[in-house]
Amino acid sequence: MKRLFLATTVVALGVTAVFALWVTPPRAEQGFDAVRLLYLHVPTAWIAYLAFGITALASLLWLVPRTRDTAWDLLAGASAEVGVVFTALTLLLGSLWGRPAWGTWWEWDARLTTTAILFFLYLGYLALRRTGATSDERGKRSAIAALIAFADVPVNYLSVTWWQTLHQQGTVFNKNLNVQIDGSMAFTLILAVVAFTLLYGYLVLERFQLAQLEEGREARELELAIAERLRTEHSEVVPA
Amino acid sequence: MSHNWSFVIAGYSITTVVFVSYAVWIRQKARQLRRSLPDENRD
Repeated sequence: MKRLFLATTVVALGVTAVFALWVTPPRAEQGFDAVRLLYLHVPTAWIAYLAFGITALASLLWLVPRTRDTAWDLLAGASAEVGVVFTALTLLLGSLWGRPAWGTWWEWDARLTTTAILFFLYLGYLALRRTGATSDERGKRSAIAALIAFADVPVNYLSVTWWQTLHQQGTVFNKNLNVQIDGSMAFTLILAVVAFTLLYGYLVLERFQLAQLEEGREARELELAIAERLRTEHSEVVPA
Repeated sequence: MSHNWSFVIAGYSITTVVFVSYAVWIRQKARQLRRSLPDENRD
């Protein structure tokens, strides 16, 4: 089943690449091919929001006593890690697009800055998850940290409207702009979003299973340590 | 070919390398852990 999932994801990504690189037109007025980065930059940014949204939701489910389960904590961690990879790529791809479009690799623009903050907030969250603690302590503090970090997501999304700096405003869902998008471009963008969503799902599934294994190893190490301690104590009490 | 194709090629290459490396890293680490754990903890 997982192999079929992976195969579907690879095919969807491959078809997206073919459409993005060979079928869609460059930006009409300049023969500007860097616009093809749109099919990577926009979906990776959207999927990063999705990833952090899932992290926040799973964290909330962990915090509510009735739904508390270690699986929510592990899912939150897995989704955050995948989200950090997507955010890093969003920044990198934006920089690659910004150089030919704006003439600069980086600008302290509102959208770029809040994206960088988002990246570092979740890096901090991942670091926090690795500090030594019991499963419950880790779950509690990371769930709270995840909910605090998630506050930057709406700020990041609305930053282009609130501050109107260098980064363009949202175009796809912006009713005021009445954007006319070429049919093949709109299709490729939707396809890219679907393909990257599948990729996100696959990576989270793999990362979640790895987290379960790591949890199992920790439990096993704890069991061995307790057994060793009991054995030592027993040998001290019973004279040879 | 316009000069900004180099940015496009860089973007697609970096994205591919990042995702493939990350997926391979997860799978290898999981395989390693499965080997080190006793049978009852395996999938």
